Amino acid sequence: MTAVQVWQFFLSGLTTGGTYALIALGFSLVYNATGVINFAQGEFVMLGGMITAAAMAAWGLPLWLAALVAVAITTIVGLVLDRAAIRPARHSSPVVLVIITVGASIFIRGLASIIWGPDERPLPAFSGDTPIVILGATITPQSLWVLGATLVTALIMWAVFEYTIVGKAMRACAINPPAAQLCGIELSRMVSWSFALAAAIGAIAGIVLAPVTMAQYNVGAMLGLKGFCAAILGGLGNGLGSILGGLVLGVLEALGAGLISSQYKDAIAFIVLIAMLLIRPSGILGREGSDD
Amino acid sequence: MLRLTSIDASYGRVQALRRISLHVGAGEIVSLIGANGAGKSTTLEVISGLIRPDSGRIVLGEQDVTSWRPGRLVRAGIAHVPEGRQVFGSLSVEDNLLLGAYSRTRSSREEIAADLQAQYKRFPRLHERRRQLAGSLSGGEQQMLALARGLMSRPKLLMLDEPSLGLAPIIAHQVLAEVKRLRDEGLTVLLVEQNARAALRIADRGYVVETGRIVLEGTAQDLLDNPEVQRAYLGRAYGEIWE
Repeated sequence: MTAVQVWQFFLSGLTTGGTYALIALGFSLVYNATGVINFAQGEFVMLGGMITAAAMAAWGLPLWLAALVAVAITTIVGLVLDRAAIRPARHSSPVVLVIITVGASIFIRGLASIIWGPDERPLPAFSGDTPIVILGATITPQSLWVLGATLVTALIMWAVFEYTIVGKAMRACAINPPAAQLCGIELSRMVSWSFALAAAIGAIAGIVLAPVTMAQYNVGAMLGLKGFCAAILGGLGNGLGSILGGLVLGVLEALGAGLISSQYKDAIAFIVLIAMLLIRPSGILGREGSDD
Repeated sequence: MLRLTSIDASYGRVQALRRISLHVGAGEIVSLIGANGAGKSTTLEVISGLIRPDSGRIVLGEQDVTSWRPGRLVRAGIAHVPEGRQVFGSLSVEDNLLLGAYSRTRSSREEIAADLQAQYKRFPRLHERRRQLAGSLSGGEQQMLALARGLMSRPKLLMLDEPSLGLAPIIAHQVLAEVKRLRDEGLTVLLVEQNARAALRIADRGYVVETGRIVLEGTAQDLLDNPEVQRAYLGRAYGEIWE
């Protein structure tokens, strides 16, 4: 095992980690607004890739337009999930709501398999396949797209929550819902915003990932679980933690697969999850015993 | 300005308010006094829409506002400064104030900025600490922030729940003096206080709440002079009263 190999694993880990980071961000957004873990988050990722692939194949749209359509449709699916499934049950306990999201994810997956069939759908890499060599390790241009999308999305989210009144209102709702209501902030509207944002971010992750792994109706479940592990690892509800958790998880997975055995690749995420819940349940950046 | 008629309300299966009727006239300070758990806070929560009443009517001005959502009531001119301040601890002082103006979608940026400066003028401490996280303020400063945040919505009716709770006596006195000044500027105030003496000193009228019912009402002076009130809420011993 040479240093270059480790460096190579590290780089490819960052790529998958970028996707996990975006998915984790979606988990945190919805969790902050509702206290619910939305297990349909992975389906947003699946929809992003599938709709892009389908729109290019069926309607002959250029990639950028197909991607835009995919983000728009997925965002609408997120809003419908909130309106049709979460809001009618909003007075139920979080456990009930979590189960509803599990049901919704199965429903969306089933619908996708009926519409698009069970086949894998390729998506062309955005800017060719010529590998780029960085310090002896190679990285595909698509990996840079994934990392770039993660970075840009994270920066946009940061700006929204730091500088816009709607972003601050969403934070206020997460900190103290009754006090936010007394400021005239409509909780239900903030929940809609969080679902819309989470769905859009999930779709973006799915679109940039699809050329790497192919789009298929059933990729959402595993990606969702990985994103959930990343969110727990970084500290559920913490934006920066979600990004960090995603990248760390991706790198750990790649190193584990490379150094131990690729058969254990998926197991590593869950070992990390269990270890984290045992050692530091609040996550890397989560404060212990804190609820804001 | 505000009239409650025969309000019943409950927390889950526990009935918290029974046939509460009260009114607050424009430009008055009206105080609700009573023991812990008597239903004072619940009354405010029903008015601000956090709790829906089981029955009864709430009229604001000429409008029936029973069962309106909190956001709509804020826009209609009711500001509720909740017990325990409830500032947004991990947001800056200034962000807390700006969120207080969240409901004012019709106001321009300049108007809101001007109101922000007005609050800073009223509470210079908040101006000094405007970039700090609200959670890092002292109790008294947090109470000022909660009050200023409520005022940022430009209310007609300001409802304060235990503004002096947990504050040093001198700070509590300053907060209540500020409330009186606000009334003198034309604001209508509904004040809930456990410190009945302090509340009645600045109030025009008061209601005594016991186990979810209003048992007594009158001018602030009448209540201060009432032997029952003195015994139960003003901490005077029997001996003093009979002397």
